[in-house]
Amino acid sequence: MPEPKNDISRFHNKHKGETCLLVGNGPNLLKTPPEEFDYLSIGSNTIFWYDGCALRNHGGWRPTYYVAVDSCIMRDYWDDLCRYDDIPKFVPTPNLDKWSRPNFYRFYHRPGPLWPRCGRTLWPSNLLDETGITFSNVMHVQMQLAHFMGFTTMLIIGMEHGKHGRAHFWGWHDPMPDETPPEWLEGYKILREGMGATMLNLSIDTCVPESIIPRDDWKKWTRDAKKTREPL
Amino acid sequence: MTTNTAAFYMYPPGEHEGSTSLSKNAPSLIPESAPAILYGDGTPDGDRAPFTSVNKGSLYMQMDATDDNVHVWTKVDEGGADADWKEIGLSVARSKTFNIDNGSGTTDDDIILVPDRAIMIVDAKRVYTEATDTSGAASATTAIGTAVAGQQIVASVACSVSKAVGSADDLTIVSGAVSADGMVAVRHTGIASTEAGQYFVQITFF
Repeated sequence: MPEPKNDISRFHNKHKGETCLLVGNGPNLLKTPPEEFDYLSIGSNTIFWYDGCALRNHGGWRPTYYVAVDSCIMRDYWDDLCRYDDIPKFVPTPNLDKWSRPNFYRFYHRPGPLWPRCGRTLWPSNLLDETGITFSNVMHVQMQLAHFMGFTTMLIIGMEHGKHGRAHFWGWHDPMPDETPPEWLEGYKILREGMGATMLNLSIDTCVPESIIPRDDWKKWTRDAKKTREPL
Repeated sequence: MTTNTAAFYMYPPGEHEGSTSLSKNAPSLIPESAPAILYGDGTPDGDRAPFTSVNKGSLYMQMDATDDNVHVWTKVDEGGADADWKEIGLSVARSKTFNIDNGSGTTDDDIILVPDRAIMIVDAKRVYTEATDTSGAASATTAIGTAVAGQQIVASVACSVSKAVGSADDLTIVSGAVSADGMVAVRHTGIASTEAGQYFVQITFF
């Protein structure tokens, strides 16, 4: 395993027992604005365009953590990501070793089966710094990172996976597949069941079956609802 | 291939399945039992006698292996596991490294080998030396033939997305037979530029 350039272990169980928001980039993200939530969040790929989106006032929302796994992000959006220099960013090694900015943390992209059926190989608590992980899309990494950090409730928004896979909240991204690959959904289910965390898909108009990830009403989890649920 | 359920001694003679002692057949003054020669159907069952009781260096003749495939195994470890037994005579060769994004529809050919004698390819893999992204790579393909651009050995198969460095795709063998002075030719067909991923093709043969 290549030597990590920054020690990812400092994040292990940093948020034990807490709730986090996993933010996808689907077009339905605009229907569940992340700034309406009061949880730590993990964003990915082109989420840095959200705070510049002209469709509504987002109040400068940015995720707490950021994940990218594809070289096209490194290649095409370098300047955009510079705005996230102060945000911890998680990328695979050796895939994106050429990408260097402040606050980069690297996890090992492990060769081998995509989804080993033996949970022992998938879920040691230190998997992100020693064993490495496999994934089929970036949300798989967001989920595993959240687990590594100790989050036990994961709320998901911006997960659409509709007929037009290339559609994002800001427009179209050409390299994306039009149809959702079956391993994406299979991965969600295996990860949810393997991690034992409470995982809820709050995305409106999502095409991810409830048998894969249970759904819930996003308004029950907003900042305002949280105040009602947990009075000061 | 199924695992062996009943193996018999060809040498030393007179032993029977399940025996744990070979001493009565070992010549006097020899400090330990000689390696044995076993025969039977199926692949070696390394945690069951007689596979557990024979010494390293012992041979096992598998009588029901696929036609033209390896039929002889040897014991190389005392771990009490199937992996203690290895097929004899396998060789490995590889192609050059292909770059996935050599251009949309652009072909790139490599000849892995031209054997002096007929060979049988029993396994083919695509091993990634540069990771692929979560989309895009599947538009590139690989085929292996006994002629340039042929698909006699492995039919054209798409590359995989989200592959880590060192991971591999198992390629389905259509026909592993390569005649003497024939060739093993790999054809890569690429995709447009700026797509991550490089790989080589590895074959196992005897």
